Amino acid sequence: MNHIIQVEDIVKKYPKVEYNSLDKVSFVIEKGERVGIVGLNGAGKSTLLKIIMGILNPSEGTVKTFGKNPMHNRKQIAGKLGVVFGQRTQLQWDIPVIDSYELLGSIYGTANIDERINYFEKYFYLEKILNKPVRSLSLGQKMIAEFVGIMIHDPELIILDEPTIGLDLEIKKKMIDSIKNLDISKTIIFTSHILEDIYDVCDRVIIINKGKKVFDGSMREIDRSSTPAKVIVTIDNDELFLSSESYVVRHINYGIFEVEINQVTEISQFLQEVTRQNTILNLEIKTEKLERLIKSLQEQ
Amino acid sequence: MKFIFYSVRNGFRTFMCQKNNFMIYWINNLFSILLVVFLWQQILKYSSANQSNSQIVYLILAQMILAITPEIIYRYSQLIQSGDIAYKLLLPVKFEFWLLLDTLGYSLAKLLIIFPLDMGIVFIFFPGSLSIMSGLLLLLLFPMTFVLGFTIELLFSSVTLFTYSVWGINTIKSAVLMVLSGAYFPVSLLPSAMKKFVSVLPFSYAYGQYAEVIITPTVANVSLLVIPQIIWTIILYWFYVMISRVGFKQFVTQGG
Repeated sequence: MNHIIQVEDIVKKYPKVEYNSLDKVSFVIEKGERVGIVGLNGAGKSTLLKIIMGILNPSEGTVKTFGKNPMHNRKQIAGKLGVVFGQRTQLQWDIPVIDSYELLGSIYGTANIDERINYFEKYFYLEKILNKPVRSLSLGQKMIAEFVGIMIHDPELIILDEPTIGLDLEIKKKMIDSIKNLDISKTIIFTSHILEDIYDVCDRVIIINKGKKVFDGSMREIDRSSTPAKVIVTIDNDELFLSSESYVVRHINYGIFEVEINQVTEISQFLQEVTRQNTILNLEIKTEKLERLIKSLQEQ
Repeated sequence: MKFIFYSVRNGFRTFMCQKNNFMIYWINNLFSILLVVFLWQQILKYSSANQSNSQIVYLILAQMILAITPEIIYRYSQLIQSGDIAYKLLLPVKFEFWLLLDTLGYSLAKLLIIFPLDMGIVFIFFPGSLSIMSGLLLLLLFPMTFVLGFTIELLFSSVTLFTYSVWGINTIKSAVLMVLSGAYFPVSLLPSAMKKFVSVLPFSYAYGQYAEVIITPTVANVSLLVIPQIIWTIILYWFYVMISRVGFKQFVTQGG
C-alpha cells in the first residue's frame, strides 16, 4: 500500500460559521509525492492539515494517514511525521539548540542525532547555532534550527506549513535546496504563499478555495496550460523597439520594461524580435502560471 | 529513560540560563520566610516555646514547598497563545508528562537555591526541631507532593484554554492557596469547622499537610497525607482531562 494520505469527501463545519470550512474534499497522496497545497487565507488549508495530522476531526467523510484514522492513532502517526509551522517553535527558548535536539531525539528514539545533524551541515552552518540559546538566534537561524529539529527522527511524511515565511533570499534558497534534495521516498506536503517555492519543490498542486478543492494536478499540467507571461527586459537605452504591436509594454525604470505576452508559446518569437532590434543587458521571464491559475479559479 | 533525563535536564538548564533567577528566588524566599516568621512569632508569643517553634518551622517548610511548586499557568497560556501547543500535541509522548518532567527540572534548580537557605535558618534558629526521620520524609514525600501541586496548577492552567485572562486566573489561584493550602495559616491552628473544610479539599495536601507530617512524623500522619494525595491527584487529573478535551476542541476552531 503506497497511500500515505487518503482523504474522502471530508467536510468540516464550525459552529456559528455559515459556510463549510472544508466541503467534500477528496484526494490521495502516494508515498514519495511532493504536494503543494495552495489557497488564500481562510481557504481551509490549515484545517485540512490539522485533520491529516489528527488534531481535528472532520464533521463528515473519512481520512486515513498511514492507513489509520489520525485522530485515534495520533501518537503512532506522530512518530512518522515531521511538521514545521512557520513562525511557531518547538525548540526551548532559553537553552541551546542542541539540548532541544537531544530531547527530540530521545522522544522519537533516534539512535544517533549527530548523524542527522551532519546530514544538514552541508546546507546550513549548524555548528554556529547548535550551542546558542534559541532566543539569541536570528529569524532565519531559528527557522533552520526548527527545520532540522523536525528532521531529527527522519520522518516519512513531512508537512511544511509556510516554512519560508520571513526568510531572506539566501537562507530561503538553502532551505528549498535541502527540501528538494531530500530522499525521494519522503512524502512532502508544502503550503506557502510564495508560489515560486511551491513551483520549486512540488510536482503536484492542490488548490483549495473557500473549502472546496478547485484544482488537483501535476506541475506539468500547469506548465502546459496556455497562460500569459511577463518578460522584464533591461536594455542600454530608454527606448524599446518592437515591430509587433500585440505586446503590452510597461516602462518600469530607465532602460527597464515589462512586456506582457498573451501566450507562453509566443515567448521564443518575442525573444528573437527583441534581441534583433535592441541591445539587451538582462532578460527575466516570469510565467506566473500558478498565480494566474489561482486567480482565474478564484474569479470563477 | 533518556526522555525523562533530557526533559528534567532541560528544565534545570532553563532555570540556570536565567542568571537573575538565583538572586530573585533567594531574596523572595528569604523575605517570605521573614514575613511569616515575625508575624507568627507575634501571634504565638503566649504559646509555649516548643509549640511556637514547631509552628514556625512548619511555616518555613510550607513556604519552601510553595516556592518550589511550579507555576505553570503563564507557561501554559503562552503555549496556547503562540500556537506552539500544536507541536506539543503532535509529539508521541503525553504533553502533560513532558511538562511535569520539565517543571520538575526547573523546580530542582530552585530547590538547590532555596533548600540550603531554609534548612540553614531552621538549624541555626530552631535547633532540634527536625529529626533524622523528618529529613528522610522530607525527601521521600517530596515526589508525590510535587505531583499533586503540579496537578492543581495544571487544572488552573486549563482554564486559559477558554480565557486569555491569565492574570485573573493566577490571582484566583493565589487567593485559594493563601487561604486553603496551609502555607500561610497552619492547618492545626484553624478553627475546627475551617479545619474540616480544608481537610476535604486537595490544597493543604500539597503544602501544609506535607510540612505537618515532617514536623510530626508518624505512620498515621504519613498515610493521612499520601492516600489523599494519590486520590486527589487522580481526581484532579481526570477533571483536567475533561476540561482540556473541551478546551482544545474549542481552541483549534479559532484557526491559523
